[in-house]
Amino acid sequence: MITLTIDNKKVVVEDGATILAACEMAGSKVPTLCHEKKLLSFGACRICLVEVEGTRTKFTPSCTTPATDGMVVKTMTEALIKARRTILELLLISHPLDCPVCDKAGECSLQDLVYEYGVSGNRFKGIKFTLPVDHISPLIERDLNRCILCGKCVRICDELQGVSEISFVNRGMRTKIGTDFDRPLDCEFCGQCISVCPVGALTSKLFKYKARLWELENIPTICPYCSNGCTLILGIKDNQIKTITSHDDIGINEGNLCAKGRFGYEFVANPLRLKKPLVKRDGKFEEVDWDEALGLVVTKFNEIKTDSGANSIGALGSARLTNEEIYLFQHLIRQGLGTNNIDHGGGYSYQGLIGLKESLDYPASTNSIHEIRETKAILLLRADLNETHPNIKIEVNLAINRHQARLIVADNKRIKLSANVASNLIYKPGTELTLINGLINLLIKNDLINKDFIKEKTTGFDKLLSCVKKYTPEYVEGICEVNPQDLELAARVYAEAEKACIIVTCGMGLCGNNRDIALAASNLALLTGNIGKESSGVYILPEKNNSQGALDMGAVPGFLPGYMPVDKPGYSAFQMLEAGKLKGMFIVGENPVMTYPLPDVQKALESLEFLVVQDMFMTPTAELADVILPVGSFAEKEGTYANLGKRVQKLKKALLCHGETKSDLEIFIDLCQRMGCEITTDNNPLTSFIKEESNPLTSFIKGEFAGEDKPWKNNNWKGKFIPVESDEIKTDRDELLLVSTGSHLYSGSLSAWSPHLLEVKGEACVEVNYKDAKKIGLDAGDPVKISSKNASIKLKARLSDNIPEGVAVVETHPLLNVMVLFGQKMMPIKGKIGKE
Amino acid sequence: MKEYRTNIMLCTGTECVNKGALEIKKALEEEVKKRGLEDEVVVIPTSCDGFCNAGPIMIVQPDGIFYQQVKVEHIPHLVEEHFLKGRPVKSLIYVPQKEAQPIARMKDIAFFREQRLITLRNRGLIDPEKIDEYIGRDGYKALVKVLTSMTPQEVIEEIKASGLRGRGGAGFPTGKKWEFCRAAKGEPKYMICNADEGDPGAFMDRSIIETDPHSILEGMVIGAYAIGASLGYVFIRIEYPLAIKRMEHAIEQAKNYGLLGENILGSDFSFEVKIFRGAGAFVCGEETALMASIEGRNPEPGQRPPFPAQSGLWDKPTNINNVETLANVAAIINRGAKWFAEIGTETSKGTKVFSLVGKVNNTGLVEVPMGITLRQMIYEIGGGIQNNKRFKAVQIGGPSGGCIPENLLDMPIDYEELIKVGAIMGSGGMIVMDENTCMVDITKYFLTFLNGESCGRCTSCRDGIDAMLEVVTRICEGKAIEEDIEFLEELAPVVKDASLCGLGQSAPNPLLSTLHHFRDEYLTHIKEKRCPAGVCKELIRYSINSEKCKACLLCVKACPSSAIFGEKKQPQTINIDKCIKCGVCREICKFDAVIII
Repeated sequence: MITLTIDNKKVVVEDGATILAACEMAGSKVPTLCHEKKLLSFGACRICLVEVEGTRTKFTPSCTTPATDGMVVKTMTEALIKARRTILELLLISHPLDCPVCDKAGECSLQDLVYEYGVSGNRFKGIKFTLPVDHISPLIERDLNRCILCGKCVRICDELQGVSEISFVNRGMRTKIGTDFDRPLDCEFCGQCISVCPVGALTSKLFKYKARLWELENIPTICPYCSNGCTLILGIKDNQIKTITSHDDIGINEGNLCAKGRFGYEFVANPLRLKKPLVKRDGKFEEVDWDEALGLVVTKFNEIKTDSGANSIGALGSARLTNEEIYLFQHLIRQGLGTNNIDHGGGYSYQGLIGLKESLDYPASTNSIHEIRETKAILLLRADLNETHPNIKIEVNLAINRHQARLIVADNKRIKLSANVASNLIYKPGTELTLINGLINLLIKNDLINKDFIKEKTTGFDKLLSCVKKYTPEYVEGICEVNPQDLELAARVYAEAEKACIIVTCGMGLCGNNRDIALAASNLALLTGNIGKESSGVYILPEKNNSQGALDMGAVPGFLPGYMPVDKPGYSAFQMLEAGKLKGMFIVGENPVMTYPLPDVQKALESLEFLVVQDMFMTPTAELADVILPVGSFAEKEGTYANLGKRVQKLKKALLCHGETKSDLEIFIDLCQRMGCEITTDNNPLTSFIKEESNPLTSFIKGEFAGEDKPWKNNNWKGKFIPVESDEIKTDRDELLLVSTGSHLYSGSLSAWSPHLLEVKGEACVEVNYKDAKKIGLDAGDPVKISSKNASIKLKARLSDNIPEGVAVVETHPLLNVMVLFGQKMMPIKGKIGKE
Repeated sequence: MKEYRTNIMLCTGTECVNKGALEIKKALEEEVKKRGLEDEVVVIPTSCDGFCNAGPIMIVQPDGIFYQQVKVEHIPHLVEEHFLKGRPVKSLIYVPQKEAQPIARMKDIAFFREQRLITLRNRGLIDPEKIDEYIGRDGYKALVKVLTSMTPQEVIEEIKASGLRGRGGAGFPTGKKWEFCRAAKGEPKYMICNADEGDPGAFMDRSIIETDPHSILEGMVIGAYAIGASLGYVFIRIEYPLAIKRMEHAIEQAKNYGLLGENILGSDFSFEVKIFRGAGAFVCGEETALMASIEGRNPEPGQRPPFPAQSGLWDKPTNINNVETLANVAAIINRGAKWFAEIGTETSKGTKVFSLVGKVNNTGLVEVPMGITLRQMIYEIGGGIQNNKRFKAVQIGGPSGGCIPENLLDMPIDYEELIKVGAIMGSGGMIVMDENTCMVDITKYFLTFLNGESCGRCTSCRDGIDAMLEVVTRICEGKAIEEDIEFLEELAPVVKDASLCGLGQSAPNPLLSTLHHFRDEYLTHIKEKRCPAGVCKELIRYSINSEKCKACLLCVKACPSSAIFGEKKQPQTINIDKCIKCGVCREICKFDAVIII
C-alpha cells in the first residue's frame, strides 16, 4: 500500500495505482479527456496534469504516473488552472463550437470543461474544420472536425474489441483518426467507439436529431439478445427508445456493448408489431379482443384434450422469455393441459448444458464471465465469439493483452480471434470429438494429466483411457486434418497453464453434437484439473438472453423446474413437429419455420387442428396460427433473465404497453386462471415471484438479483468422465462438407425487425475457399444454390481464405432458414453448391 | 603488410565522396601507376576527416601535408610535383581567411589543432571496413579486458567514475543508466544504439558510424555485458545508406572474429546485434518512440514512467545509448576513468563532437573537449565569420536548442551552462548565424520543422507548436500586435511543461531563447513592421541604388518575374508589384547596387 498526500489530504492506495486514482479517492476532481478506466493509460490530452512536489518537471500527468509513497500532490494551483485553460484553448483551435446541433451536447466532456474553466473562444486562427464528415458508414457517423484526438476510440477498438478498424493517421497537426485509405467503416459496428468518445466526433446515426440528451429518461434494463446479460440503458422520451447507452459501473458488461445491444432496439418501435389479438377465420386474420382470443384458446385446447388426450397437445417456449414467464408457461402446460410435451430451442440449443449436467451435475458454465480475463490459457472450441458473444470476446482479448494468456482456437474455419493464437487447430467440420480425444490421448501420453485430481475428484477415468487409445496424433490427423505439431502445442499450452478455460458456444445456428462436445470439453478439463477453481473451467455459452433460465425453469420435456425428474418425459421439439403426432400446439416466442432444421415444419404446423402463436410480429410461423396473441417487448415488461454465469438480473419496465399487447406473463396468468390451474404465489407474481425466500425456485437458481455471479462453488463435487466419439463424415469428390456457423444476428427473432442491423448484416451468404470456388466456377457475390439431402436453398457466395478447402460454411441469417440443410441430426452434412 | 614510402590518406566520407573523392582515387591510382610509383605510393581511402567544406581532402603521410579542394584535373600535376619531385603543391594547400600564408601541415591548421579526438580517435587513420585496422589501433582491447578481468558491476563503476554523460541530448549519466537497467527485473534485456540522428544540419552520428563502426559495436558489447543484455539493436535511419552498410559489414566481421554472437571470446557472455532501419521520423530519436518503431507500432512516444530501463522494448528492461556515447566506452575502459574525467568541466567530462555549420569559414565535424568556449569554436576552429560579416548568434542543440548571442560567446560549453542560457547540448548541432539572419525568421524555421515532426499525440505539442508557429508567422508577416508577445510567453511555458516527450518539452526553446536575447528584433517586426536583417519577405522591399548601378543588366536577365526594367545604359528600377522578393538580383549584382529597404 502507498500513502500520499493529495491537496493536503492523506490517502492510501494500492501499489501501482495512478495519481489520478489517488486523487479520485481523495475527492479531488482532476479533469480528464483521454483517460478511460477500462483502457490502458495514454497520456495524450494533458488536461489531467497535477503538481507533484520535488519532481524535475513542473507538471505531472496524473493518469499515467503511478503514485509513490510520500508523494505530495496539488491538483488545483494557479499554474495548473492556467495551463489547463491554455490546453482547452488549444483544443478549441480545431474543434467547432457547433454544440447547438451536436448530439453530444449536454454530455460532452470538452463542453463541460470549457464551461468550468471559462474559456471563451481562442486567439488562434488556424485552418479549421475542413475534414469531410463520414455520412456513408452505417450506424456510426464520424465528424473528425470535432475530434480532439484522445484516441479512446482507437484504443477500445484495439484493446477490447480486437478489431483495430480505426487508427491514428498522419502526424502532427494533420493527425486524424481514420480507416485505411479513408474507406467507410466495415467493422463489427459495436459502437464502442461512440461510447467512449468524449466529444461528438462519433455519434449514433440512429440517434441523430432524435432528442437532446438531457430530455431522456435513462432506464437500465437487461439486453434481450445474447446470454451475456449486458445492462442496457434505455434513453426514453415520449414513450420511445431514442437511444441505448451503457455505464461502466452498471451491469456485468462494464459499459461494453455490441452492435445488437447498442443498435438493435428498432424492433421495439417497428410499425409492423402486432397490436391486437388475431383470430383466423376463413383463412383470414381478424382482430379480436383479449377475452375472445384467450377464451378461444382455452376452449379449443380443452376440446382437443377431451377428444384426443393431453398428449396430443404440445408447446414450444422460448429462451427469450423471463424466468417467471417460463415457469408459468410450463406450469400452464403441465398443470393446465396435463402434458410434458414442452420444449424450446428445437430441443437442441441447450444440449451443451445438458452435457455438463451429466458430467458435472451442474448444467451451467462453471465460472463467471470476468474470470476469463485472469486465466492463462483459453481453448476456444467451436467458439467464434466475434459473431456469437462479442462481450465474451472482450474477456478473451483482455486475457491475451493484459494477462499474457495463450489462446488455442479449435474451429472448422479461421476465425477473427485466430490472429492472436498460440495454436490454431482448424479441423474438418464435425470432428470435434475426435480432435478432443486426440488432445486427451496426447496429454496422457506426455504425462500432462493431473493424477491426484483425477483420483480425488473424478470417476470413470479407465473408461476414458480405453476410449482414447486409438486417437493417436496420426489417427487424428487422418480424420480431423489437423497437423500433429499443432495438436501437440495445443495440448501443452492448455495443460501446462496454471489456469485454463475452455469455451464452447451452443445454439440453433451451430451444427454438431452439442451435448457430446460439452462432454468432451469437460473430459479435457477434468483430466488436467483445470476446473473447479478460479479462472479455470468450462464455459458453455448458450444462445439467448435467458437460455439458462429456460432450462432452469423446466421448459423441457425431461425435467421439471429445478431439474426435478418427470414421471414420463414428453415429446421433444423435433418429435412434436413430426406431422400427425399432435393436434394442437402453443408456440410462444419461437419461429420454427425460420429457425428449425426440419424441412417439413410448415406442413406439420398446417396439419394441426389448432395452433396458437404468441409473438410480437407476424412471423412465418404466426401466419400458420389460428390464434395470435401479441406480446410486449423486453422494454415493456418486468421479470428476470439468468445469464450464462447464472446471474439473475431484473428487467425494468421502461415503456408503456404497445397497443393492446400484454406481457407473456399476463397472458399466462390469465390462461392459468381460465384453465383453473393454481398459481402458488401471492397475487402479484410480476415482481415478487422468484425473489421470495420461501419460494422453492430460489434455491436452484442460486442467483441473486442483479447481484454477484453465483458460479459453481461446491467443494463436494465429483466429475464423471463420459467418453464420447463420433462417426466420420465422408464426402465425394464433387461434394463439399456443409457446416453452419452462428451469425452476429442469430435467429432473427428480434434482429429481423431492426432494419439498420440488417443493413450491416447484408445478404445471406455461403463462404467457400477460393480454390473450391474456382473449381465450381464461382465469383464473389454470385447467387448460388446449395443442396443437401434434406433441402436446397439459395444465397450468395462469399470467397475466403479462412475456410479450408472442401468445406462450405453457411451463415445463419435472420431472413433465411439455412438450418433446413442439416436436418434433424444437426450434423455437418455433405452437399453441393452450384451457380444459380 | 607491405610498406610504402608515401601514404595518401584520401577522405572518403559522404561529403568528399559527393564532391568526387572516388573519381580522384581512381585518377590518383592511374597516375601513380603511369609514373611507375605503384610500389612507393599508395592511396588509402579513409573515413571522414571532418573538414567538410574543404573537401575533397587528402593528407599525405608521413609528412602530414594537407591538400584541400582537390579535383581530378589537379592529379597529374600533383603526382608529378609532390610524389615524383617531392615538392608540395602550393595551390592545393589550405589558406586560412585573412591570412596570406598557406599552412601545409594538418596539425598546424587551427581547425584541427584545437580538436581532441576520443570518439573520433580513428578518423582518417583506418579503413572503416577493415576490422584488422581497428584492432591494430587497440580495437576490442577494452572488450578483452572487460570479459577477462572485470565484473559487470566493475564496468558500471568505471563508467560512472568517468563521468560520461549521454551524448544524445539530455546528458543523463551513462553509468547510472546502465546500473538501472542491470538492476531491473526481466529477461531478456535489450541494448539499443540510437543512431536516428534527425536534427537538421547534424551529422555527428552518421560520421562516427561511417568512420569507426567497430568503436560503437565494442561500446555496445561492453554495455550489454554490464547490463546483462543478450540482444542489441542499432537503430539507423534509412537515409544513411553508407552508415548502414558499414555497420552491417562491421557486425559481420565482428561475428566472424567471435566478438559477437555466442560465447564472445570464449566467455560465458553471448550477445547479438541487429540493425533496425528507421523510416525517418524525427521523433524516433525519442527513446520510447524508437522502441515503438522497432516493435512495429506507430512511432509515438509513451509516457514515462515506466522508464525503458524497467519496461522498454517488448516490456523488457532496455538500455538506449547514443552513438557518440558508445564510441567513448572503449576508450574509457582502455585508458581509465580518471584519464577521461580529467578532460572537460566539473559536470561535463570528456569531449563532444559538434557539427559546425552556418556562416563560419570552416565548417565540418569537430571534436572538442568540454569547456571550450564558443568564441574558440567559432573564431579559431571555425576560422571566423564568412565574408567578414558580423556574428549575430549561434544556435546550439538542434531544433530544440536555443540561440546564443554575442555577449555570451566566452561561456564554456557544457551541459549546465548551455541550459542556463536557454540552449541545450542536444546532439551537437552548432549553426553560426551572421548579421543577415533574422531571428524571428529562424524561430519560424525551427517551429515549422518541429510542427512537421510532432507525432500529434499530445495536445500541448501538437496544437501548441502549431499555435506558436501561427503567431510567429504573424510577426514575420507584420500582422502581429504587441500582445502577441505576451501571448507567446503565456503559451510557450505550457507547451514546455505539459508535453509528453522531449520533442514538445523542448520545442519552445528556439522561441524562448530568441525572445529573451533578441526581443528588440521581435518588437521591430511588430511595431515598425520592419525586418532588420532584411529576411522576412512581407516586410522588405528590393530597390536599386541608381548611383551604384552600372546598367550591366545581369539582374534583368536573372529576375524570374521580369520585375526589373529601365533604359539601356541607364540605372535600372524594380517594379515592386511584380517583384517576388527572391533576392536573385541582389546575389548576382557585382556592384552591391541592389539594396533592401
